[in-house]
Amino acid sequence: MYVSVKGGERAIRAAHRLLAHRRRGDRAVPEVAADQIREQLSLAVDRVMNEGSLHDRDLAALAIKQARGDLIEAAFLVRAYRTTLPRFGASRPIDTGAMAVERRVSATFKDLPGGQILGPTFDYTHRLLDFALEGESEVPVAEVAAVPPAETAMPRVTDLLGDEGLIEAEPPACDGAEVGDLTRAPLRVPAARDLRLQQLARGDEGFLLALGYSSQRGFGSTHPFAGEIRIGEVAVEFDVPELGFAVPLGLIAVSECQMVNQFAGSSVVPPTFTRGYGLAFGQSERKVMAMALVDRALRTEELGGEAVHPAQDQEFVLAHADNVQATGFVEHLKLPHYVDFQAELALVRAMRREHAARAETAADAFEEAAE
Amino acid sequence: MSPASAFAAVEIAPGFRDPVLESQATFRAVLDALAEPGRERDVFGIDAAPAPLPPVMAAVIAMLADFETPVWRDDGLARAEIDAWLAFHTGAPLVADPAAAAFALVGDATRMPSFAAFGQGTDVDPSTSTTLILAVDGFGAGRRFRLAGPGIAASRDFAVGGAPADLARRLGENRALCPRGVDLILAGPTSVVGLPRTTRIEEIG
Amino acid sequence: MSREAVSRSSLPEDPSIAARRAVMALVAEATAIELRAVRAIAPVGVVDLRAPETGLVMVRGRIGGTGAAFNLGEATMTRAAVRLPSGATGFGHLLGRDPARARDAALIDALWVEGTRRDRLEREILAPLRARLDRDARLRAAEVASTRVDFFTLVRGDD
Repeated sequence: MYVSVKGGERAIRAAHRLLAHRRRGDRAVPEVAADQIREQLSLAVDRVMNEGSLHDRDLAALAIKQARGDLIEAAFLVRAYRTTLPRFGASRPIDTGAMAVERRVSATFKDLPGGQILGPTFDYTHRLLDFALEGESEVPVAEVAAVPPAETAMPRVTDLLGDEGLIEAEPPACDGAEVGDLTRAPLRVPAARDLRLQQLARGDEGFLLALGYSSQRGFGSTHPFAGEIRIGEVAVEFDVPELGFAVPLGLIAVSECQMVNQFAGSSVVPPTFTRGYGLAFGQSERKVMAMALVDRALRTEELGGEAVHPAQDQEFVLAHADNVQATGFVEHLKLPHYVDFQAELALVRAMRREHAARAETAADAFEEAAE
Repeated sequence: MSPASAFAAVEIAPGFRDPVLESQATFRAVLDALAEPGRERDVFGIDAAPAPLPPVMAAVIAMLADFETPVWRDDGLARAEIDAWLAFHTGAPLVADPAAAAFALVGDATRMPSFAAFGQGTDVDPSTSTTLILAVDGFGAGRRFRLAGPGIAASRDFAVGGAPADLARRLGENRALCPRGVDLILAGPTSVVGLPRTTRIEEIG
Repeated sequence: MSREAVSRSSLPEDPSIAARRAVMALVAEATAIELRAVRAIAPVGVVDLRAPETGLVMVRGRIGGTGAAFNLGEATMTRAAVRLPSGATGFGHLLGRDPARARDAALIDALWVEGTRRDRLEREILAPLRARLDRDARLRAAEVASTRVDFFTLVRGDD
């Protein structure tokens, strides 16, 4: 139960002002600008875009600044802003096969067509703090390949496996079919895979990481291989009814992970490789890998298995993945619950009295019996 | 007529002059009207809307509809200029099946289909039923009704001209479906009155 | 590279639409400053059919990259529509929240549709833009290509 309490306004105003003051930090240090965050903390920006479920690098950077670097708070700010804008429609599905690739690796085939391209990765760094970054350092520009490669096709690894019939086919895309949207209708379980992927795409990276990890450690193993990870820019196209054709809106960076999972088969499915899929805005490699693991784990029942572990449990995963929802419910506990607690206090006091009375009666009975 | 040809051939009449402020004011009026059934709330209509779309109805639908809310309109309102105006200002798909509509525009309330023809929602998602926007002659004169239920302290009387003769019977049947059923927004010349599915209604002559 | 991706992804269509879409794809990658130059080419008396308006587009992906569509998340976009005195209408639809950029894009589209000022449009805006984007794309491709792995297998001894 909530009661309205007045009297906090002055303290709240002062708290907001103190927040702004603390956010600024030591005024002897230059203020960070949103465009610096956008350019130099770009992976934080990507995470806020995903969990805020809104692609806009400038807004995400501003939210990170406003939230003092609290990325869940920043995602919350972005979600709130999003509700002020009308939606014009949905894009054509992006074509990750036509990506301008910035990174593309496969853990399943060494010599795959198009090659392995490391891109700007933390892999193979030694995780030693680089003290040169403490000051204003001269950052060398990127190396450029002497002979720029002729444009080579980069077929998806899953398509290569598909050509041999070794991996399950994706259900055919029937354009025009209704695409589930959990921002329009409440999510119910069991949910179709489109809705599950939408929820995972906006889900908390840490939560998905922990679930994916739990499946690797044996809580519902999916025998995964990173078939392919690709990061780069794709075109977004939008059908404009007044024009009668799809208009290119611009490019966005996305990360995609195709997990290939060995599958011994079941009563309904012959031995084959199965798929787990991850897709997210920006350079979000850990996110899409975890998402692909969880996507595959959530398919346990449709592949004839029994969902017994947390990562396989749709309700558990989908109901708890959204960190904006989660933080709202956890953090609401700090709001005034004075009346609830008064009721609890009275109840506990009454129960203690009854308990004491019962103990006394029991002790008397024991003494009588002993005599 | 498709929106594409509408764009080329028809001069589209203006919508809200200040879309943000006017749609907010209209939203507030409709919200209040549904929160306190039977109480009149002023709405500034869109006078430039193509006839015979009544200005207040035009403002309400311009505020409520978007590309995800199918709109049904009765025969008198199903005209090329109105369709083009709705397509441009709301982007809403226009549907022939009243059961598929999120919003229904009824220009002639005396000849409207049965409420059962519209979307009734489901017990799990009662919000998916159709909201009907009915053009009426005005409030304060005409058939008189006594209302009770949520949003009304004890009872509230109101009068409306140009409503269907059997409004009380229709709304009684509609209320029996609760939580399913349609909601009504009556659009007069300068104001709206809300009659949500939860309201009990009796005609008092 | 990316602009070819745009035209690759769309299938059989009218060549005039393809050309118009190619201009739109160029414009979608241009900066606000690059597009501003169109104002010197546009005639007086342009009517705003749709004043620039910012909203959202739900970006869709495909399950497994090739399967059925799903909703990935929204992106901000801004749209505008203008009509030239000649009657030619143009549309601007761009990611982001810059109203001036969307209106300038609509002006470019209108001038392209109108046709009579295409040469000047090409010379002063589109050609320099195309050259800049090609340069950027080549540089990016070369930077990325430097991180391509060249595997070689060491000869394994028998002992």
